[in-house]
Amino acid sequence: MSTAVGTAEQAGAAHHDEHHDMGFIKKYVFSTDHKIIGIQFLFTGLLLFVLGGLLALGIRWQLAWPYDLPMGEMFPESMVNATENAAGETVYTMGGEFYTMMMTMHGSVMIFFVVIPLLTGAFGNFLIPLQIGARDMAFPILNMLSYWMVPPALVIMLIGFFVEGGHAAAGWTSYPTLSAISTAYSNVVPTPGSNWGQTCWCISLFILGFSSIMGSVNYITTIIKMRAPGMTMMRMPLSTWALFITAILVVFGTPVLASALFMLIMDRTLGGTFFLPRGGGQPLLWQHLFWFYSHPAVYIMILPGMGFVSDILSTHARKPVFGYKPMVYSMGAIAGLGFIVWGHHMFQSGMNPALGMTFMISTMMIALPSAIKTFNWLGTMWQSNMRLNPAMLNAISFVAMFVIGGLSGIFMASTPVDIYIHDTYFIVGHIHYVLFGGSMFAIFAAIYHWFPKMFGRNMNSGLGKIHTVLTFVFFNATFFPMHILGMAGHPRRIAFGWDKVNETGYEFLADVQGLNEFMTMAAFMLGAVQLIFALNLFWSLFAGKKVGNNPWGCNSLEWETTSPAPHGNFGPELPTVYRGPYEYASPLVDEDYLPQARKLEKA
Amino acid sequence: MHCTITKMLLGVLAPVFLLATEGRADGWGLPENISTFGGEIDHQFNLILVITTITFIVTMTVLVIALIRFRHKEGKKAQHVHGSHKLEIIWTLVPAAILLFLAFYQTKTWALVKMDTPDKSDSVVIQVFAKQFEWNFRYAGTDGIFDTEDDPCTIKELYVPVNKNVILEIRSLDVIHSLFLPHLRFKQDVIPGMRMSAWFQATKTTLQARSERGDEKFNYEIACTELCGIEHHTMKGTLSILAQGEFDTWLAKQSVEAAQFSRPEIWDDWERAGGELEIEPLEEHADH
Ligand code: HEM
Ligand SMILES: [Cu+2]
Ligand SMILES: [Cu+2]
Repeated sequence: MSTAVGTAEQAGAAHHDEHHDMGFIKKYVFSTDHKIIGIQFLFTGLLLFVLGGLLALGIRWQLAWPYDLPMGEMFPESMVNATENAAGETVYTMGGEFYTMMMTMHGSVMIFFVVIPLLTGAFGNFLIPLQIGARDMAFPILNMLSYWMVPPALVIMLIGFFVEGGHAAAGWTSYPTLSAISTAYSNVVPTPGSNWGQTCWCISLFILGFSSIMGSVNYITTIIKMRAPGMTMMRMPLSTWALFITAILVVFGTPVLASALFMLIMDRTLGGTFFLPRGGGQPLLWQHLFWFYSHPAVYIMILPGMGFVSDILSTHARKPVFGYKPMVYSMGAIAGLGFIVWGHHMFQSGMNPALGMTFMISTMMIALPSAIKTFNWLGTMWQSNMRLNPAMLNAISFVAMFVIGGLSGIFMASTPVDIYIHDTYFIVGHIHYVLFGGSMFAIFAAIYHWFPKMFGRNMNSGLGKIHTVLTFVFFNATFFPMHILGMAGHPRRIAFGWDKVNETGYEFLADVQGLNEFMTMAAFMLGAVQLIFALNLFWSLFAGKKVGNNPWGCNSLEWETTSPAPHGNFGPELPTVYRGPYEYASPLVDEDYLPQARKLEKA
Repeated sequence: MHCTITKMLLGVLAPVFLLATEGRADGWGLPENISTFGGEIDHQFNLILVITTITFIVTMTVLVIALIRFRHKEGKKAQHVHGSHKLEIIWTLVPAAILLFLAFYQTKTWALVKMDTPDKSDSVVIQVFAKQFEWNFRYAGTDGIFDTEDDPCTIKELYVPVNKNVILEIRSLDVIHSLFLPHLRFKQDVIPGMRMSAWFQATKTTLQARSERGDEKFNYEIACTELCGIEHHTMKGTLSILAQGEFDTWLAKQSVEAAQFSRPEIWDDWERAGGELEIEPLEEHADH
């Protein structure tokens, strides 16, 4: 390994010299510096988190109070229904079209433009070279391109909102034939959104796929080839391990999604019939291809979070990670098993039930590595010396919420139980416990933890704690009742379950409609408390307390360099690694940490 | 901080205990079950609920105790351990055993519902045609044979006899739909171009349910659980479960009417399709 490092070092040093005469554009916009690219991904992701969040609030409003859309006059007339009530006032309602588009875009934006870019784009870029002691990524220009694939994808996705027929309306899973035809066979109701909106959706994700693949090729090469002297694979921090395994998932999975998207585009625009029975196509083929990518993709959305949380728990608990090797192996197991469980999304699809049985067994087994990781996190906290700062509180919330998300997965892994709960709110509950309770809490933790390294300043701890605790409370108030709705049989993706004013909808759901209202109020609070986070973030960027190289007393290499790290990351010489990243509370030194790069005199 | 977290966790847990009670008439929790296999599904659900609740309580107890006991103290050092072989083996093997047991224990119920389909000879076969946003049902009529003059058709209302196997042969004329009968724990997606066959046996008539619930207007409902377009939420229907005698009378009357009156519009649709379900690709209808 060390030979490869030599060349990279020279290249880095060369960069280092030019760095002062780089213009603003080259330095901050079309930058090839992995740290800047990471920060670009971070802000893009957070900005779109706002968009995704607003769409979510729209969805929630409709589910709670479907009979009244406030400010209805603000929306295009074709999107809302206006009626006159007894008092002669105009009352607006949203209707199925508006709702379905909003729901589709919420899911698509959150998954493809928020969680994946934040985890792999922002932190993958920022952390990998710093944690393995490299000067930059192996292919800096490819890295820059991987970011610059996002704006075109985003623009095309946003254009979808304004095209004729409105945006895609087939859910983030976009099952054909709904997503492949503009009008149903029966020709009664057109399928708007399945006009240009759906095509925009396909093209946008197709482009975004390139971003993921370029990023991942880079991560894999960088980690294999450019580790600092002494940095063996088994001395890498778990964040880097997680990002490495995630990158492998991306490289194997994304091309499958890309080909499925391309087939769908052909069906839509070139008269193809891959998914249309009329020409001998098979709609189930999409489900197989889509989930062959998207099941691994759900692990793409959680593995990096697992890595960050392992690092953060250990650092702030001032205690070595419990079971480093089991942590690595279980991530490997998740990645491996992740490719043979996709059928659990298709138990009720009409797939052969015998096949369903094998998918049930593999799905049950994939819960095992998650369980092992949870126990090891608890082991890390036991007999520790925990600092309950915002990063740590978010990491602990991650563990607690991931337990619920993992356990609810077992219900759905059971094929007979899934007959009842499939495509109900139980699934929506599960999704949000793993994706908000898991991934988002991990992202918050990571931001609080690595903010000082990114910007040289600390975030306000008091505001951070308030934000974390309130997010935890309102998160649970918003999403836990979804399991109860699911048990009552509330289908997902319907514009409303029960409209108590007009007395329409499903009568068997009338009793749980109150929960829908409760959840919406909690969701609005959840949205509101994110303002605390936004405030804290921007305020701290400019006025946060300045910090030194290593404010947390951390062991891994990113804390060896200045905050923020210079172009080329480390001084003229790369650090040498002498031990693993988790030597906290070591008896060899007086302090409660022992950095990877500190050489100890032999006793 | 730690007491806030304790309280929050208790708040999260409370509903779990509430829900473990079963058999309520709708309301919260699983709705009343009225199918022969539904009880087994509920049993599996409750078993998993118990196992997961115990796991949740144990892990969260450890977490909360750790939060209380191991808070930061200046000058204190944490224990310097890197793990424990013994513990790793325990917490790998025990969950592995539980999960494998669960997986194999489910197979019996799954096979009962999805694989042991009853024989057509002692069942009522009903054809279901799904299209945006309507469930259409066709019955074989009194002659017991499909595609004859006396096949009645109902829209949005499914009539079945109680205590008798019902086989639904489901097809879709346009997009994917999913037929969901919550009280029967029945769900089957329907893929255009494929014929899905699924069965159930109801154990209670609608009339019985009405008198038990003291609600003259009560009906079991049919839902669609696969996003099928912008009016997906309106793709509802009712399920009328009749005593065998009533069902026979109803069918006889409908068969006569079916032979007399013009056939519903949906018939033309599937006639036009020549029995083969086809989907128009984008271009053909782009002018719409
Ligand atoms: C403990 C391990 C897990 C198990 C056993 C599990 C099991 C399942 C099953 C069986 C389904 C399909 C349910 C249905 O549609 O009927 C599902 C859906 C889903 N899971 Fe998991 N899951 C686990 C962990 C995760 C994680 C870690 C994530 C993501 C971070 C995740 C994200 C999702 C999403 C997004 C869906 C819904 C997809 C959709 O239909 O829109 N799951 N899970
Ligand atoms: Cu999955
Ligand atoms: Cu539907």
